[in-house]
Amino acid sequence: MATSHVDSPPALSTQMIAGAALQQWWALLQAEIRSAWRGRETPVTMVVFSLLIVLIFSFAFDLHPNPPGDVLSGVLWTAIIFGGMLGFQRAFPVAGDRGELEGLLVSPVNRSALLFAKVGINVILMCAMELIVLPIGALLFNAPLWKPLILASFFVGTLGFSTLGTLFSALSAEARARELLLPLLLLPISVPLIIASVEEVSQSLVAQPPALSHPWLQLACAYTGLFFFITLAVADNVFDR
Amino acid sequence: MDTSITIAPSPLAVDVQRLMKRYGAQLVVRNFSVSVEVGERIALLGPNGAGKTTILRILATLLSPDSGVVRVFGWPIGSNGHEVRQLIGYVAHHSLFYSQLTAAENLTLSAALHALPWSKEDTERLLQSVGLIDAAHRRVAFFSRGMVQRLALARALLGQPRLLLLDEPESGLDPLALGRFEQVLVDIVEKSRATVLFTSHRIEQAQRLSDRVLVIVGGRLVFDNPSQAVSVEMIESAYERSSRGNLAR
Repeated sequence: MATSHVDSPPALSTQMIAGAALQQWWALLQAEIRSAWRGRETPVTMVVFSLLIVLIFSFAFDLHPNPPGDVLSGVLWTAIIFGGMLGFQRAFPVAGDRGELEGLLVSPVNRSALLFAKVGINVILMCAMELIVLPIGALLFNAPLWKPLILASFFVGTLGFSTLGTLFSALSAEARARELLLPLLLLPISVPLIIASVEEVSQSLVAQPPALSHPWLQLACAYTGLFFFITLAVADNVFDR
Repeated sequence: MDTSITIAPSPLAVDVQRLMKRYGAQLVVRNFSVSVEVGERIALLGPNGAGKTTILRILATLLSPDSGVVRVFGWPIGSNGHEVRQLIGYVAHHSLFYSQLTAAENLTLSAALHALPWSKEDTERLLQSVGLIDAAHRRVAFFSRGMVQRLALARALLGQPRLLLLDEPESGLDPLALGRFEQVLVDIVEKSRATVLFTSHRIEQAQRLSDRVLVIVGGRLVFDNPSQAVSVEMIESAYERSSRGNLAR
């Protein structure tokens, strides 16, 4: 058995590593966007599913006209969260005709770049879904959703939920019952973010004049930041099998 | 990113010592040890479920060993996975591509992930070498199995790997596609200066393409001989004898 001495890897500065990772992230994100655009099955399913949820709620409850802010906020976030989860479940295909993940894992790609490219495409898909669902929700419920603060709340919540959803999707990628496992892992941990996002939208819908401080939005930002750093910290080990 | 990786001063391309791997309760690789010299071509044969793919996936850093030592050009795969991945090219027996991207787009993405200076001409040259230049702008989703495998070979060669890992690259091909694929494979294996480790069920082809034949049954190495010193019948006999013994156990 050869007991060889192993040289140190060539010294790369942190800036060089970060620059290379950013280039890889951008190349992967472009590939993900192209792939989602051409395949269309994931975004179409997400939009149809979330629209169905909004429609079911609109038939089930008498929400027209002028529904209470908390109910409307809850209905819209429910549609967004469950629609988004469909995207997360498709984020890490491991075999078959969408087996690109292993192809990426055998290349010298920075694991954080790979994970955050998936976060990026999930944020884009969820935002695209919201661009369709929110105007329809606004029309159906006659709700003034086009306020910067409400849109900011939806964006921050989407960013945090996508980051965490992508991380758990990666962790459960090779689990036998991943479709069942993902919501069971993701939803309980997302509860603080979901509550903060729902409350912020709810308060922004009813507040006249708008409040000066936004503790729920601050809480959502804090959770999103926390999820982001946790994902960054564990990215190298997420794909270990 | 600096793609010129320091090669650890090891005379061995692959050094595996007492490798063990289990899936749940099932032990799929048992005390497997092998040393592969730089430039050697190794055929890894064995029945289905023998552990060939698991060994290749461990070498490709897709799986972690439960115990044992695995080094690629001196780099331990556990602690230096990133360095190892810069040295290998891997072809699996299923597609590892973005099916909605074209062949050219998939190769360009791989070049970006390897941080290679890359041009359209490089893509065309590579696709030409595997006979896919006419399909450069067709989505992989519309490729036949033979075309996917030839594209996989092109991608494996893209970073000029020092170790090529080919996992039953010809499986599932119809006779026509198989003939064409084999032609490309032989050409690449013979021209390449890389160390090659491939699995196959085609004993005659494996013996012809390799310097050494290993037979693995039930996760154990049962046969390790130079290809020139053995006949196809000897390999078949070792294969069958061990398979029977393994079944009896």
